[in-house]
Amino acid sequence: MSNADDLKDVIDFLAETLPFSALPADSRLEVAQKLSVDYIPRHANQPLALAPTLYIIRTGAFELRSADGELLDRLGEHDLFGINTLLNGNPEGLTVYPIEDALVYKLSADSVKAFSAQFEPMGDFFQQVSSQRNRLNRLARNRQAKPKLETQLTQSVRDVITADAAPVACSPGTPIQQAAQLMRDQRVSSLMLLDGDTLGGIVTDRDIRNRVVAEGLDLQLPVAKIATTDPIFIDAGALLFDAQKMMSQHRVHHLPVMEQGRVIGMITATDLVRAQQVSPLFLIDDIQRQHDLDSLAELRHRVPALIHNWVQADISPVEMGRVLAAIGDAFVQRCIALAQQELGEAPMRFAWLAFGSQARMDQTFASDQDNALILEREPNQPEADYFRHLANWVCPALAKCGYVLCPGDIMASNPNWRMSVAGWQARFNEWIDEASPKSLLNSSIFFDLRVIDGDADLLTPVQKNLLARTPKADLFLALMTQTAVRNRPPLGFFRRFVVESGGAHEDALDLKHRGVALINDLARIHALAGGISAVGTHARLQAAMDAGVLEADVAHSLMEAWHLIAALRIEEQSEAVRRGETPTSFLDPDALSPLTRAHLKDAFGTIQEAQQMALQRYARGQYG
Amino acid sequence: MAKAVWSERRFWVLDLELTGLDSSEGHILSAGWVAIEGGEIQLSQAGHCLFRQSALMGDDVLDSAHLHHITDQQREDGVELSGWLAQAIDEHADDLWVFHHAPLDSAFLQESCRRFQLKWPKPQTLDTMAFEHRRLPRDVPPGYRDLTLNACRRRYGLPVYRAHHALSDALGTAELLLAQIRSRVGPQASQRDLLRAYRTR
Repeated sequence: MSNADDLKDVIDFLAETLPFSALPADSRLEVAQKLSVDYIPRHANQPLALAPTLYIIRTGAFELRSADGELLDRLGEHDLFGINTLLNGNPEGLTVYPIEDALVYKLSADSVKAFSAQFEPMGDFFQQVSSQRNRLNRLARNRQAKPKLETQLTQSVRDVITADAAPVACSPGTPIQQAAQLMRDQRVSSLMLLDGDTLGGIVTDRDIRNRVVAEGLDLQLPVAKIATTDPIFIDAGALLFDAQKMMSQHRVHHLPVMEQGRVIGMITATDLVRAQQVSPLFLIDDIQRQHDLDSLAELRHRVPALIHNWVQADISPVEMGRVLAAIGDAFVQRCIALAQQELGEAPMRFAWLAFGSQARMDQTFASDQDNALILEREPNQPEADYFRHLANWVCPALAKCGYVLCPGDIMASNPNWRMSVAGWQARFNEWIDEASPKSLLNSSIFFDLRVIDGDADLLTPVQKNLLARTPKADLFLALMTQTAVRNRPPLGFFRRFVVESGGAHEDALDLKHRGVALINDLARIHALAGGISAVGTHARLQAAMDAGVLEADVAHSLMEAWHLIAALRIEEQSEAVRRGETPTSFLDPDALSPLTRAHLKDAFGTIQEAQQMALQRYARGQYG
Repeated sequence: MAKAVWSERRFWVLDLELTGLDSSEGHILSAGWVAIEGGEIQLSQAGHCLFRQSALMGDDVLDSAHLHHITDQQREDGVELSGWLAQAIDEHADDLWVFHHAPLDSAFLQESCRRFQLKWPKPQTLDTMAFEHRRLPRDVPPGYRDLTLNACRRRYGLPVYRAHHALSDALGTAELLLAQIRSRVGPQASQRDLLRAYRTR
């Protein structure tokens, strides 16, 4: 009764859906004529009663969970489920939850078997999907996460050092000769001195050469004599990238690796060389070697390709942010160095501060510069002039390097933001004590701050004072919370999302102001309330959770939401740059797959709940 | 019977492509239909046909015929409306008939019955548009008051199908009906609940 043209809508869809896409065209009509269509409304906490039928998702999204409720997979448009039940009665007890209103096509067990017999590849495909689901289930049972594509220097130090090999070590009292023999036998270039669990120092090949052989030292002296006591070490959770930075900063090739106060191994420069192919460090290295602004500014063109590679490699946005911050820091440091070549040394100690995204380490393509200067003391006129010249050199230079000037004029080139330690102290006190909705709107950015260059110690007393006061500043926290929740996540009632009205981005979703920024705001409030010094959003949530300021499940959900939205944003920006467009934080919701939409809806739901909780906790319903 | 669960009943979802809005002057160009049985749309019971046009149809259809992508060639391939109608009534008289905007299609079908001297079976009819109109709260902004088939489908997250093809519209209407029943009326609704929820004024 119906031909291929009549059922075009269905057949076109099958043509893009495995395994039906592999069938000859007239067989697709046969399949279409056998389908039934059903609508399954969203019901996230009630599993579907699975009939022995193949389900093909036309629109909507489902979650596949193991018998004990663990999430195995999320399925969206063009995905199938029900194969396990159909082929072998689902002995694993996998369950399926509709998490978004869905339209499904169903193909009866008899039809599936008939078509599978007719087209061998189709039968194979179903077997494959079925065993893959089983494997996912087994993986979940073994508590193994899916292996993530790891590249370059974004692996953690822990992943690289040989896990089961104990670090090569001896006691501080061991004679030098014996220590050298141990190094020879173990084929290591460095040795740790362990006093019980305590790291007493390290000895390297170089020490044996420079401090023993060259000096003609007695080989029976205790090795502690020639060791570097109090060596710099690295935390097991740090990235290889951080290890490399540390090594080049301190000009060492060995770093003991510590976990919870215990030494668990040693990481060397050789380990790093092995782990990296193309690395952002080459870029940072090049930045540090430029001698004029024009060639420095040229280097900004190398950033997009790096980001694109990370996006392709599925690097987490948190890790990307750290690396982009390091690149941004290098540009700042180099600009200041070039400026000082012209202006001479500074007349007093100072530090260059960054606020906002550079401080939080979540810069993306479209980040602008927000910076300031903190000075050791009140400057006299010539001293003030020096810093004016410095800022007026560096800020435009950074703009040339791709860091857009701040439209709100929060820059060191604005005299308001060149202050002494005492001046910053007073300014922060004023923001806390005399908080008003209006003042907080403009000042909240200042509470995410980090020293980029110069004398980091200058900021310490300011931060100490700040974090001692904010946990007790009830009105400040209340106002800050109300300011933070003025923007709501775009969860629409009639359409899936409320999109920005007006302007060039009508019909687009603002992933910055109605996504990541909302989570940044929440993380900042919890950190200030808990007296937490971390600045990055992820680190703040983690610390707030550890300090008991924030419930673990809320913290984890917020981290996940932040991850998802930040990843979408940077992916979208990376694509825009490749198309030769200006990157923005806007996203066309219609361009999203139903699955991504489902994830996003969850993320926005999480933000909304967390906003409500923050209001109740800090604003106690004072006109919330 | 009235207590029976809605899904025990067979539904016949129909869409007509018309040359105008006035049944005394316009013509039916094509029909698309699909059945719902056991609470699911059965594509094995989907159909579509073009109708051969009588000489009665003059130049007045040219514009809209162009709009509906129905060419002269196709019209010559068409079937006789009278035969199709007689058979459809015979086969579906006891089903629940479903339209998106029932008054229009019903009027054309009744007018055709009168012309061909067929008995109009007075089928029980559900109207997905009327249901949606009643469901929308009064304070919905005008932009969302759109009751076209595609606009209603969007509210339930249903996909977009091609325009002006009677079977695509019938399938679209059938999916909209399932979405309305399963998310608004309730999965265990009886046939009486259903008729109440869809009653036309």
